[in-house]
Amino acid sequence: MIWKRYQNEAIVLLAFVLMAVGYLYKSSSADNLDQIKAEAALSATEAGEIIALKKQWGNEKLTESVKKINLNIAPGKIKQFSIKSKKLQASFRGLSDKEMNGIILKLQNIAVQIVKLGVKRKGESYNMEIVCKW
Amino acid sequence: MQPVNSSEAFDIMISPQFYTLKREDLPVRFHFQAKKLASSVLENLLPEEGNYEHYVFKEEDLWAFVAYDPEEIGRFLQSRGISAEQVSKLYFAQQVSEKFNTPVLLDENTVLSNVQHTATVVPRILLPEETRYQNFDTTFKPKAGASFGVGMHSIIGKKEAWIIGAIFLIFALMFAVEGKRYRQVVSTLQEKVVLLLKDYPALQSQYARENIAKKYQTIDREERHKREVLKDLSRLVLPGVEVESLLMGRKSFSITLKCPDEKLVVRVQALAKEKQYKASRAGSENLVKIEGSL
Repeated sequence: MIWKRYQNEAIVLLAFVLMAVGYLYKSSSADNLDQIKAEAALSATEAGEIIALKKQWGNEKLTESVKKINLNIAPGKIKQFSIKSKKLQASFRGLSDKEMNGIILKLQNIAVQIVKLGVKRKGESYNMEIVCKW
Repeated sequence: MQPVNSSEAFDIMISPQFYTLKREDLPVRFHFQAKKLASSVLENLLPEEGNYEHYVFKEEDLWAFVAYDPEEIGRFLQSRGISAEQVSKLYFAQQVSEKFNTPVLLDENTVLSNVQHTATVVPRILLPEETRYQNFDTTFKPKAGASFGVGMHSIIGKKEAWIIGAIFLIFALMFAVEGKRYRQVVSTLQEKVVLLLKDYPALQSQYARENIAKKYQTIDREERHKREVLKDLSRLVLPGVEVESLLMGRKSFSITLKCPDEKLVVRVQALAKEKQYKASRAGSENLVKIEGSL
C-alpha cells in the first residue's frame, strides 16, 4: 500500500540510488585505474631500468670483451692473464706508456667492476696489475 | 454499492457514470499509437475542469477511448470505505459489455445492462418485471485494465517521476559504462605488466626488483665514478708530466705524478684541488701525490 502511495517518489529514489551506485562504481574504478597506472608505470620503469643495468653490468658477452684487453701486447710482457668465474686477474711487466694508456682506456670502456688497478713505473716502463669482475 | 470494511486489495470495475466513452475507427495499428491520440479524440467530450486519464482498448474493428477522472473515482471509493491505494486494477464495464446482455443489479433501483453494444446504467423500472439478473463475479474480469491508486498522494507527478527517473538512469548508465571502461583499461595495464615481467621471472616480485635494482644501481654509480676519476687523472698528466704510480682500489685511489719543474707542480696541484682531490708534494723531487676516495 505504502509502495503504491509513494510510487512516484520511489521511482525517483530508485533511479537516484542506481545513479549513486553507478557513480561510486565509476569513482572506485577511476581510483583503481590511477593506482594501477602508477604501479604499472613504476613496475615498467623499474623493470626497464633493471634490465638496462643488468644488460650493461652483467652482460654475458663481457668475457669476450675482457679477453681483448691484452691484444697488441707482446706475450712477453703479460705475466698473468686469467679469467675465472667472471673475474679477471692480470699483471703486465715492462709496458710502454702508450700500452699502459691503451689498457686503461679499454678497461674504462668495458662495463666491468674495477676491483684493483695498479700501475708502477720502473725506469722507462710500467708494471701493471688489474683485478676486475663482472 | 455497499460500504466495504477491509484493508484487502481490490480490482474494481467501474460503471459508465464514471467514464466517458468514444469509439473511433482510426487507421492506427498499435495500442500505443491509439493511446497517443486518446486526449485529442476525447477532447470535446470532457468538461474543462477535471484531471482526466485515458484508457484505450480494441473493440472488434474500432478503438474504444475511455476518459476517467481518478480523483472522482477515488472520492467515490473513499465514500465506500476503500482507499485508492487498495485498488490494484481498474476495469471499465464497456470492456465486457457483451457480458451485460443479462443485466446486473447495481442497487435496488439501477441495473447495468448492454444497450446497443454499450454497457449502460439503466433504471430498474424500465426493465420488465420478469427480467432475470445475473450475479457479478470474477468471470467479468477483462484481461487488461488500468493501474489505479498509484502515486495518488505523491508530491511528484507520474510524468515528472518518469522523466527525473530516466535522467538519473541515463547518468547511472553513463557512470556504469565509464566505470566498465576504466576496469578494462586496468586489466589491459595489468596484462601489459605481466607480459613485461613474464620474460624476466626474477623481476616479478617487488622485493626482488628493489634488491636487484639496488645492487646494479650501486655498481653503476661506483663504476661511473671510477671512470670519471680516471678521466680526471688523465687530464692532470700535462705535457712533460709522467705517471710514477697509480693505485685504484674499491674505496680510494692515489696517483703520483712527476713534474719537470716547480711551475707544473703548482699547476697540477691547483688542477687536482679544483676537482676536490687531495694534492700534496711528495719527497724532495717534483713529485705530486693526489689522493681521493671513491
